[in-house]
Amino acid sequence: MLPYRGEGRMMHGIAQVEPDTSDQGSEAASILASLEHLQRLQSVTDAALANLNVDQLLDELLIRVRDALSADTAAILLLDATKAGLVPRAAKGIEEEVERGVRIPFGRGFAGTIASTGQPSAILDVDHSNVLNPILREKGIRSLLGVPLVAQGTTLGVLHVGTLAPRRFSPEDTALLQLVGDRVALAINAGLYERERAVARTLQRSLLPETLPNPPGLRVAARYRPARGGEVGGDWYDAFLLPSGSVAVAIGDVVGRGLGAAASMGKLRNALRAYALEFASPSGVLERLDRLIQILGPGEMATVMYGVIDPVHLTFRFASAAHIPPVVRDPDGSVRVRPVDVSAPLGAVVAATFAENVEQLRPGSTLILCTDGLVERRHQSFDEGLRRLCEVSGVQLTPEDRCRHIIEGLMEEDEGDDDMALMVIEVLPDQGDRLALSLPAEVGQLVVLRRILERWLTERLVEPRVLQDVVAVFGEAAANAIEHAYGPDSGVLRVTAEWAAREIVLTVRDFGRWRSPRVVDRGRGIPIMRALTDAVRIDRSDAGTSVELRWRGGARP
Amino acid sequence: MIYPADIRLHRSNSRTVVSLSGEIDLSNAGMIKRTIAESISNQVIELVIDLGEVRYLDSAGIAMLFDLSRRLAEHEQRFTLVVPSESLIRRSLEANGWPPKFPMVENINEVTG
Repeated sequence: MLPYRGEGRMMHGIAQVEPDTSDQGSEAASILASLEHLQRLQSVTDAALANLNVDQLLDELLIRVRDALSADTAAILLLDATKAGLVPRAAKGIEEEVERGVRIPFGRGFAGTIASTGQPSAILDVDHSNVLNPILREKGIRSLLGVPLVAQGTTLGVLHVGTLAPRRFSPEDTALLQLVGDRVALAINAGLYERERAVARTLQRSLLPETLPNPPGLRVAARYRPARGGEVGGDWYDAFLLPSGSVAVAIGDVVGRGLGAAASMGKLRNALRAYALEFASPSGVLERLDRLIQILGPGEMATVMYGVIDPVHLTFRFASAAHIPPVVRDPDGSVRVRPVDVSAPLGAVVAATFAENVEQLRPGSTLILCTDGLVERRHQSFDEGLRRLCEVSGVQLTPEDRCRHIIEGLMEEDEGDDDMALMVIEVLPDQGDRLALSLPAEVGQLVVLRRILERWLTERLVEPRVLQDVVAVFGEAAANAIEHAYGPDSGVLRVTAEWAAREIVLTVRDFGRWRSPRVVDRGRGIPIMRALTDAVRIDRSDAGTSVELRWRGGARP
Repeated sequence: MIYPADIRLHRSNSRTVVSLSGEIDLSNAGMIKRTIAESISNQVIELVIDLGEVRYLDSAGIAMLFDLSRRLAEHEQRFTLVVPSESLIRRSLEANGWPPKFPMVENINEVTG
């Protein structure tokens, strides 16, 4: 081995031609040699190469450096994730190397030593050296020249060329190869960075809910936006239906950026979902989440707001771990920041407690939850951002359109240095005296249907006893349809309720083919329906079944 | 409340008291029946089901009670239901011909003394 202890690197791509004044002939030869050298340099520094993607660029650089050095083979090997071995990434003349996936141990053999020392190296005769790669021997390679691929002080791999005839490589050859190696290292480093960002983006997207729930009497929309340049952080939003028919909403911001923050956010989001199914109080959920971080993720920090909306009584019960306060748009169009009792971020202090807040919503209210990426700007205070959010939220819009409007209003030309999440929840205005719904015919929807009906009856000021009867009978009709009209591939249930001339008329329609109950004991719904209504009419046809139920009176005196 | 219904079991000597609360419908009646059935050992002489905190009970829930009562009768175990007279579910139960032949009491204290 003939290590060129770095002389090549000193040249940094500038052709170094020894002045030679001995005679005319050798001077001409020297000029010619330096011209040739310049041409070789140009071929590997060609600006047009900048337009290629990483793979194309590596291929093109290998071809050009092989030709410039009059070599027969050229290859790029990269350190694998464990940094214990080198694997071929691209090759010319010895393409099998890539296909076979040879692995060279770090610190050993020709390439392994270059990677571990970070110094160029050359071999005059492969047969008398410690070359480990069997393909080089099989191919009849006699001489090798290799350089390390270094970017930002880190060795990424090795670039080497080989010749079939014995060859003593010059310092200029080494310099040229190192020049190409530096370019390769830069391209690969940028590619790695790009890939990590792409992975983080994919992870972030996969952790946000694919679809938002369609809860009774509410409408939800949300947005996530990475920071300028597409970099993701740890912001997230979540909304899901609890088994009780209430709606859980969460929004949070994990401190940090990139892959790490996205992964932390994923853990927190899933842990929050699990606790939400165990503990009814939002402050209890945050306390457990905080304890989990203290134990399993020390050093991590996040701000989170978690709340539960009761779809009948329209209360928003929530707790906040130092998160941005919610903004409430009242039905009359006025917008205000809802003050929140201050608590520490998750993971910040030991045994933190979180205050529970209750905001009474009304039909037509809108709740706006966001992360600081929406309201914080470099030249603008956080309060100023919240004030602007209130300003743009006065207009009457659907949650979907409201999200778009808010983002346009607050982030117009500025993509923002930080990522951001936004969630808008609208309590639908009272539906009036005629309610119409279409829902999947699944047992889990029964509680949801009861919630919608309870709210509608409450708004109609129906007497509590009648309300109970209506809900009970309606539950039977809906359960019958779910149980008997469809097979395991559930269909649709259509429900209408009308309040007219002091009479309540309810219809439950399915579109399946009715069959007699599978379990004999279950035929109990009909007696309840008959006992608790003034009139029941059941129409069965091949197209489905319709049950009409009537109550006279029922208004509060 | 996160789940429509909650079940609390209390065993003392030969009696098992099951306190149900919330809403019982087709979606959870089967699970509640299994939980209660598993809690009744052969040593139990009496099962008391307290429905005082139940806000909603549909025919699937009522069928569950009938089924439990039948199983207990087969083993000569007693079955008592606690349903306060002002309970919201009383009308549903009565519409189904309850009580058949088991005692129905107003208050849990009437059973446990």
